[in-house]
Amino acid sequence: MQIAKYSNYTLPDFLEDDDFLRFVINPTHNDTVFWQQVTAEYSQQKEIIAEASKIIKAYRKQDVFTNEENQSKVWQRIESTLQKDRVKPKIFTLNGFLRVAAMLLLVSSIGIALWLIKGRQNEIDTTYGELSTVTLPDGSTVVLNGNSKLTYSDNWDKNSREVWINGEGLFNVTHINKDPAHIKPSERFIVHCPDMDIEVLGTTFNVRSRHNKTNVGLVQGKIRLDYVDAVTGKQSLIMKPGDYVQHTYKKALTRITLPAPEKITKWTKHQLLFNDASLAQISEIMTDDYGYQVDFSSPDLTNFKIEGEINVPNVEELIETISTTLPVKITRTDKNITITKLNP
Amino acid sequence: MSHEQIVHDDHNTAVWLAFKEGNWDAYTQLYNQYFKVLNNYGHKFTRDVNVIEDAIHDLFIRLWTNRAGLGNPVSVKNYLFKSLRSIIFRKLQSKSRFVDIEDEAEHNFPFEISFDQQLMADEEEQELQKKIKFHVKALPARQQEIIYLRFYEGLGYDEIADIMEINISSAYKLIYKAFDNLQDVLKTSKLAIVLALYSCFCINNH
Repeated sequence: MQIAKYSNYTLPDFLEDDDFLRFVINPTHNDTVFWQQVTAEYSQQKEIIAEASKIIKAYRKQDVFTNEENQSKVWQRIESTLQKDRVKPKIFTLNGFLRVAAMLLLVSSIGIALWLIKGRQNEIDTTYGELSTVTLPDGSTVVLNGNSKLTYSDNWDKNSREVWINGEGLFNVTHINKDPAHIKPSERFIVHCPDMDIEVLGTTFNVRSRHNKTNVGLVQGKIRLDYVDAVTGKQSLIMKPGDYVQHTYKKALTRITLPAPEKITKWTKHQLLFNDASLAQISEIMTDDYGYQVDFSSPDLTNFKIEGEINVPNVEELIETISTTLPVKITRTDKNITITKLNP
Repeated sequence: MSHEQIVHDDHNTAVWLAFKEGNWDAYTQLYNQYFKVLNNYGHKFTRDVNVIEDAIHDLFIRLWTNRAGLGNPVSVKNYLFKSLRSIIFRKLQSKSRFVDIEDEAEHNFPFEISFDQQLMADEEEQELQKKIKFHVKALPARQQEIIYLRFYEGLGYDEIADIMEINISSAYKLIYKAFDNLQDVLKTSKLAIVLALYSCFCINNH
């Protein structure tokens, strides 16, 4: 570093000087010594140097956004994305395999039929732990949970609005029907699940459709479910806000009223929420939404229940909560979790 | 380059090389070392935390899947900043695809910093910060970004040019422009006036 050039530096000159900048931001011992020399040699520059460093320091006093609280959550997502790519296909039992094959055949034939009729298909796929907000052609939005898939066609002008979901999504549907007595085909909005169809007229509701089982929770508005009942065959059900329905193909449908329907949307804020949940229910969420493999040392462990409400921001804290409230020991390596009973 | 700087860079290079060999610990270390600064940089382009997190997720997925084909950047931090910046731009662009954005080269996304008033000790300092804030916020986004990379991240012109994907002379031009626009701050500063008078006095005496 040359000392002489600084004798007639102006304020902007100092701001442009790399060596000066480093001295202000992150000085080494050498820097401090050097700039002491400069001010000693050219005392007329002393104040301008002080001014330049004040400007830089004042600018640097900024709010810092580190997002530290989500550091481990984002890392989990990265791990699960990379793991999913390397994962080997599972071996199915024959019965289960046939069911899956039939499902795939159904889905793909619908897909081909649609492709022939309507042209381009949009397919949104999320990995474990990833949330994604999808805006549909009519402005309606869907927040997709991890490990979920949403399919819809581009061409919504003439046909009714139709989407296919496998996994979980929170729908916020734009209302376009002006006259409820006369609904035009283009005003219909239908969500197809493997075991039922949901017809909508502008509303917010949550769908969770996994393992051929569908749960629908209505937050506001009005929707109609079309499904097949084990005894009576084809059925329809109109849902009211706060209704929560569970259905499995060709089985009886159960309906309850939620005390706080907005809670079923908590997952869209990366919150894990459970109420009086059994370990079986908790492990299902961890497996389906976050890609964990949960093993129980004995089968009766799955019936262990945690009374009351759990509301945590990530899987780490969920595990922590389980191990502090239940007499169990949890060991974890990467995505594999083993739950064993503690000896009394 | 100072001694500490060299030691630090050597360590970073070693971690980078290990990561490229497929060392998972080195990869984890890169993530933990840079997660916070990347968030801080990303936050200047968007306040949507989901977009920032998605971009960091994508960045690290790409690093791992393409690790064998990656070069050895002079500065790992620079390389990560540059990559994150372009991923965020693409995400913001696809989000606003209904707004017609024709020229890909000119990113017109806002760049925004927010100042921390808490840290300001005395009144004079607060006054100065207020002025800087006022004038910096009036600058075009790209000029604000270059000021940030220069005076917050402490980067050289070559590094700034690399991150913003412009050539070095453009980086100089951009910062001159920013200085030009900031002249009011520099001019009206009391000390600058005193100094100007003082230097006149010196010249007259000689």
